Amino acid sequence: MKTEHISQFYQTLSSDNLCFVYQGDFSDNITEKIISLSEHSMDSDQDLMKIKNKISFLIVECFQNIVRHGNDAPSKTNRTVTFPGLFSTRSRPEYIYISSANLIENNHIIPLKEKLDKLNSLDKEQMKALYVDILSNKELSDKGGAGLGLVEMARKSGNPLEFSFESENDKLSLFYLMLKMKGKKEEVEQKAISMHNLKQMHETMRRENILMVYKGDFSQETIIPLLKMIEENLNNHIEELTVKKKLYLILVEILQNVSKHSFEIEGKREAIFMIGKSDQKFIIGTGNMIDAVSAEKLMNKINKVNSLSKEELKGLYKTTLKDGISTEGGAGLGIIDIARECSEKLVFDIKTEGGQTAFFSLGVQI
Amino acid sequence: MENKFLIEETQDTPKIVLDSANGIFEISGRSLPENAVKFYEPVLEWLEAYINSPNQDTKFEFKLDYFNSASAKKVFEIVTVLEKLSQKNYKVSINWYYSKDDELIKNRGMEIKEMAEIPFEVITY
Repeated sequence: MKTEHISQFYQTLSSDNLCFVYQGDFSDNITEKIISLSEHSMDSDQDLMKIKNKISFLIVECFQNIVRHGNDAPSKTNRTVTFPGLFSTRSRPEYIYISSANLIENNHIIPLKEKLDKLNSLDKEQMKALYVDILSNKELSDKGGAGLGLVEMARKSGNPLEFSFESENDKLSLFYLMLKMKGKKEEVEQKAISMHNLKQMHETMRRENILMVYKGDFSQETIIPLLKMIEENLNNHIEELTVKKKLYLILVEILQNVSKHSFEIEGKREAIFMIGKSDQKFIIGTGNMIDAVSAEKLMNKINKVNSLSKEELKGLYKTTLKDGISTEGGAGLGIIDIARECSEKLVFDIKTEGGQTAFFSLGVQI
Repeated sequence: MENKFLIEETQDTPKIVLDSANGIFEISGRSLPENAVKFYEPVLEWLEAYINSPNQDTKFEFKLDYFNSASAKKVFEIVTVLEKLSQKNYKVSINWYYSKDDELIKNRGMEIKEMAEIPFEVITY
């Protein structure tokens, strides 16, 4: 993953209120959380709130998975085929899209396609009948689901299930599935998300080693619960306290920086947060809009911080602690804090958006 | 004597006890407020008033799990206010606690100790 991907993804996701994409292995926990996402219809504000909360849980599970398994080379694990799947939820005012990609054996394609085509041809009543029929039918498939899952999804979504198969090798193919659920707005959608978009995003993430993307609200109310959950998870899965705290420190400073400095529009601070890999190391990236003046100051600050040794950074930290003017934002300590805990220089990019505003991307390597 | 000052811990702010009658001065838990200036304002106000009629001996304790950079600045300001007690010839000292194996909190404590002009102990618990 490179810093330029941050603004690219932010562009691509500009119409999304909330977007969460995860590319990686799917533990039982993650799968469970994804399933529970679908348990709400999209009728009320309360439901949307619940979805948002569930997405938070999901983010944390995925993050933990990345941290736990991120460094496992396939040969180190017992898994015969380690190939990342994809899960994505993209929320727009008119529709919410829930998509997935996973590997399947080629000889499963035809039966699956038949099932899906059949499902898509049924009306509401017929679907309900099918659902009841499967439920009461004592036969179970060898995976235990009896095909209920797909029917459930079709019923909840109220729209045809979009799907596609892409050959991966002579034994396996990628199965892409996209569900579209009605959102709050009754208007006609400006520009739908297509299967092609989904595949493109998956391809990009695979190629560039991007493991997770979250675009949405970054107000303190959103990030604090998220940070809390991440911390709990880190507690369970990382042995060394120092590593855990370091990671947590960087996350807190980065997310709070975004929360504090990104433009507020109608009470919301929209930004993007990404995790990826570059040469075996984790990269945490954030991107948000800021005003052009702040962008300039920030650039100077980061360049300065990048030019210092660890010892000099410690010195700068101490002088800033002592003499820095206290603003809402902590006297400019945040960037220094982050730089101190990172193994590499901070990478950033500033794209001016014509005069007053700029898009600021920050990449931190751990 | 100042009134007792007490704030309970929340998910992003620490527990604060400033009780001169019982000689308890303690900040514990985690400090992640977005606006640390606003959060710590009453604390600093209380302390500024306290140093005008303090106890003979003040022992201040920090037992922080985590603190963001905005809080770090405020923690240092608290230390600076306490230093005034020493300048007025009152006894004052700070205990900075860190959980065993928590190098991060330990190191941050050591850094503040290097700059503090009053007795400052970095202690494991």
